[in-house]
Amino acid sequence: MSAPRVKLALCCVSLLAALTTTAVFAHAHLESQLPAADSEVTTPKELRLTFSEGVEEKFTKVAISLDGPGAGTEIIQTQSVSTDPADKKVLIVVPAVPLAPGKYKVEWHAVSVDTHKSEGVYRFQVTP
Amino acid sequence: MQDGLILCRFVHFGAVLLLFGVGVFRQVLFARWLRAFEASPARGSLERALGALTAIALISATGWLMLTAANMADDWHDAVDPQTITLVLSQTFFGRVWVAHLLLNLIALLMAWRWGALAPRAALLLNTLLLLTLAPVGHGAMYDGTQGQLLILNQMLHLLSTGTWLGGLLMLGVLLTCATVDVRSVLSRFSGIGYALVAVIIVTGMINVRALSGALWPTPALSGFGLVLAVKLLMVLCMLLLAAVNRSLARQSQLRLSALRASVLLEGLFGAAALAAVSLLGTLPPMLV
Repeated sequence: MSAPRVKLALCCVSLLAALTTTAVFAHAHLESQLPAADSEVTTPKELRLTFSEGVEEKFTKVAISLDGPGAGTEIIQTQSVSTDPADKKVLIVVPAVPLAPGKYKVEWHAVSVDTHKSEGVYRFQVTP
Repeated sequence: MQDGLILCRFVHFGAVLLLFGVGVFRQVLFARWLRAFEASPARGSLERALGALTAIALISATGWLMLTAANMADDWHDAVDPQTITLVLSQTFFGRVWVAHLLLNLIALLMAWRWGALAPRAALLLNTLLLLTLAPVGHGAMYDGTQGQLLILNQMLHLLSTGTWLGGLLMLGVLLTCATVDVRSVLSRFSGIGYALVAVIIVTGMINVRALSGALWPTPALSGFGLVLAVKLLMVLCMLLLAAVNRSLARQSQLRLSALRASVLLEGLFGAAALAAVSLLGTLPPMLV
């Protein structure tokens, strides 16, 4: 390859590099959630977890538990855990029964579309 | 699980890259130079070795699938659980790519076993598809939309040129041990092609790093992903240095075969080391939070 061509190639690379500026993380991270972490809400119908990349619904697990005051924890059964058909980054968790007032803990174990695993935990509160 | 996955990736990438590269070298780049070789008995042993390599590729691909299933489900038992394997193959992005990949590998093995010598072009086509179906697996899958497709295309180019380099190196080694062809002209032509290959490898590699880490070099620069990447780059630079040595050896009036053999072997070993580093990279996050 001749020198001018190499220069041209290098210019193209730096241009391409400048175009893609968003930083991303190869292991799915929880970017936002509804109800938001540490928020107080009235009984939500579903939980929406938005990750930094697509997740595999069949292998992503979400455990919701009620952190009762002193009474230990109670696991809340879920009716379904699935990704939004329009956006594989959004995981929708529907509890089997409406969430009663109390403090809840959400533990998630995600498998991203590039097969990597990540996990995390957050809490929110349901007010009467 | 991760250790097993790294090993499977290393073996599988190595086998598929070599299968493709050897095919390109023999059928496309040097078909005219290799007539004497293709008629010699050395050809038979090469075909057998390639058949074995195809079998190794299939075994490592199966291992990769089993370990991925175990890793996704977080349980060793799932590596052999038909239900989990089916779930991975049918319901995950990796699995859907892998169905096609395994099928291609199986056909390639049947071809190598039965008709490989009769239809070398068809075998090359299969091995090319086998290599290309490796592109969407791994970090390339983390974007969606056009950006994701471009990154996969970039990865395809990266794999094709890497395969051509590594496979060509293997063929050079083979030709140097059985002197049936004009090694000097093959070598000087290959090092000419090498310039273009290395340029593509470096450019596509830089685009990959930029896309995955969001910077020209991942942070932290010299630990985790950054460190392994640095090791990989160092290995590639050593390969380049040896390629220059090969070129100058080929230009000497007296061809010193033993020196050439040693230099090509060493370059191949650096290639294997670079590949080992890549296999590790695939399991590490490009960015730590």
